[in-house]
Amino acid sequence: MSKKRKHTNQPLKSNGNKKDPGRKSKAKSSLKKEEIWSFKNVSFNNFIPLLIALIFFSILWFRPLDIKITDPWYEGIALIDSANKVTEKELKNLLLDEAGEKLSEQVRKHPYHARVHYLYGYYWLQRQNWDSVIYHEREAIRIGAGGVVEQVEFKAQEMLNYAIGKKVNPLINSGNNEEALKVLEYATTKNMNNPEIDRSKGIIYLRKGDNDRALGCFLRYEKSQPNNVLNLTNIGLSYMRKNNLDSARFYINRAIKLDPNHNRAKQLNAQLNPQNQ
Amino acid sequence: MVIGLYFGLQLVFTNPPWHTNDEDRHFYNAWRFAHGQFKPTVENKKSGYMIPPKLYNQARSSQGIRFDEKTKINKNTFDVQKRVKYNARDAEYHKIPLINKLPVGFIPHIIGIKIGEVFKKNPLTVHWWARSFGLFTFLLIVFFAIKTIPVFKNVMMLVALAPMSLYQASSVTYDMLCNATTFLIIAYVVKWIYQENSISRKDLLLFFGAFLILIFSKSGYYVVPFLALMVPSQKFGFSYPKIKLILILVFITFIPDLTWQQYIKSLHLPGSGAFQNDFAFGLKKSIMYHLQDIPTLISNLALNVLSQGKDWIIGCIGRFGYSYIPLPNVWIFAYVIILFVIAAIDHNVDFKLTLSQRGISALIMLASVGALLAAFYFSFTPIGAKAIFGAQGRYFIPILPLILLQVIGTVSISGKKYLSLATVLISIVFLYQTISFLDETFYHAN
Repeated sequence: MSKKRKHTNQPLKSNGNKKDPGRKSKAKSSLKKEEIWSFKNVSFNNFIPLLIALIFFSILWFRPLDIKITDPWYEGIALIDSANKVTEKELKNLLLDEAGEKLSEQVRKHPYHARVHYLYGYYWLQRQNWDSVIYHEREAIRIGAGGVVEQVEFKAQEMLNYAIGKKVNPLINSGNNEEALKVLEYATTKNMNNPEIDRSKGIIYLRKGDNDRALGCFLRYEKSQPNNVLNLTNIGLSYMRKNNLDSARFYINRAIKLDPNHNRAKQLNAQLNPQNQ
Repeated sequence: MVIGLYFGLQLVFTNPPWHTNDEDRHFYNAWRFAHGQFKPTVENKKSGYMIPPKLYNQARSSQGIRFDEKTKINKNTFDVQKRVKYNARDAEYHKIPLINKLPVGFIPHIIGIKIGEVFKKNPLTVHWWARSFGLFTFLLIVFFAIKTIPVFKNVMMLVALAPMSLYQASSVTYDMLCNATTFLIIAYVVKWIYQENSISRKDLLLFFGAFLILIFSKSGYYVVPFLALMVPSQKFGFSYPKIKLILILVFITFIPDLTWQQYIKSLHLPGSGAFQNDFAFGLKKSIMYHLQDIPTLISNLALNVLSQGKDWIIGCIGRFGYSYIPLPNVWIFAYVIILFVIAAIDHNVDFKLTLSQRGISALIMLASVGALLAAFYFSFTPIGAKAIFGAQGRYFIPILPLILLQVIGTVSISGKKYLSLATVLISIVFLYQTISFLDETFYHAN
């Protein structure tokens, strides 16, 4: 039957090593100073773990090595930030080139990271390469939308909207409607908010004579921009072309109320109400 | 026990409601377990639970406070919050993460919630009840651990009553049970090394029981119980003890996966939606990626320790809640030095570890720390990132006694009869300062 041992302060035979406390103090006092600090001395050997622990703690606490870790994609962004602070064109381009190399490598290695696409799109924004911005921000939204924290989709959508405007407006203005429409179709992101796509599409469909589609786009845009006079005018025009004059008058009147001096609205009003001339 | 109870209860009421990291989510989980909701509700192809809106809204309203001069809490708001009553049946669906968490880690809080609701179904008071019961459980287990451990009692007390440890213990989180059971496991191992007699069956059962509770509360600390390999084989009283011990411990490690996780899988739940989606995470993918360049992996881990080590130390001793407000650096520095010094001297002259025992304990310590860092690097850090994401200092609390065990017996000094008194005084001073600091930081002066 095993006895339960009480934990007392009486010396026990731990690990088979008996210790005579008296013998220990006599031994220590006879040690010379250099012997205390040598590795042969048992007490000093025991102190080594504490010494190592304290040294390690000091290194961690006081940070003499001052190590900073940056994720590789953020290294690319840091270069873009540096480029933006520099005025000299050559240096700016060098920094941007380096940033581009780093980020393109990261996109190649990690195509599943939405944020890397977002950051690479930001790089292309600096280069004003709108096609690349549209592609990468679209990827960022496609892969990364729906998280609860660290959401990337809203900032990516802002950049996407900006790039779409920059790409599409010149195409529309130069009459290149088909290409503009292709870009808009491609850039549309599911469940994300870009009313400008509807506005641009509406203009293209109106020019092509597709009044139904144009009207659909303008009416969707009107939900987010109810006081946009030009859009109200476009809705009015679309209804006019569909021979729905009552609806056309409704929207033209709204446009004129908001801006009585709007030329287009006044023109359409005159067409709708020739008796008032 | 008395010090823990006094200051712990002060922390229960001083720590702003639902302010501890993830405490809101843990509270929702504890509440739904308390009301028998073991199976999630699915709505709009997402998993969640039915929670009374008044309870959910009050917890939510406490989030996101920055605690600068303009946004401290006025204690009078508690009077207003205490008037709210919820009806447990008047519940609505909420998408809540952590759907696969086990109820074991919340048992004390569940009891607190049930008792609190008997008096008044008010979110704040029920929350305080849950915190209090968590605290009582922690103190009971720690008391037992300190009673069990034959040496190192003062260190165990300082670790258990460290500001961050007590802060976690007085919050609704499964960290409480995880920390307490780890301390108990370490206490048993030290006891078995110290004692001359064979290990009793009761001790073994309690040891395995503590590990079972640990593994059902929180995963990540499976390596710690392997510290028992330090104990000489002859003390176990049966043949091939080390092999049997390893097999039992490995088996226990897999029990949650073989039971609760299988139950959750059988429900074919859609998940509560991605928590963070801007980066891709994935244990397998991450391991495969990093195995392509092992030297870089090792150097990344080492660089992370050097660059984030200080933050982890601060987080381990005193960085509080969602606001991540730390105690002043000088306090944390002092506490760590005190811990190391007392760990070095808090032993009996007859308690000696052999070189192999020290080697095993160092290996288990490094493996525990390594496993923790690797888990965060591979699971919670974006694939390919250099900086370890998500590792907080509080996750090192269970391993802290193990770290300090490395210096046990390194300094022999006489006159240790006042050590216990010094430990008590140190605990009181630091905890008093912690409470004052939190009160000043989080609340407007009345």
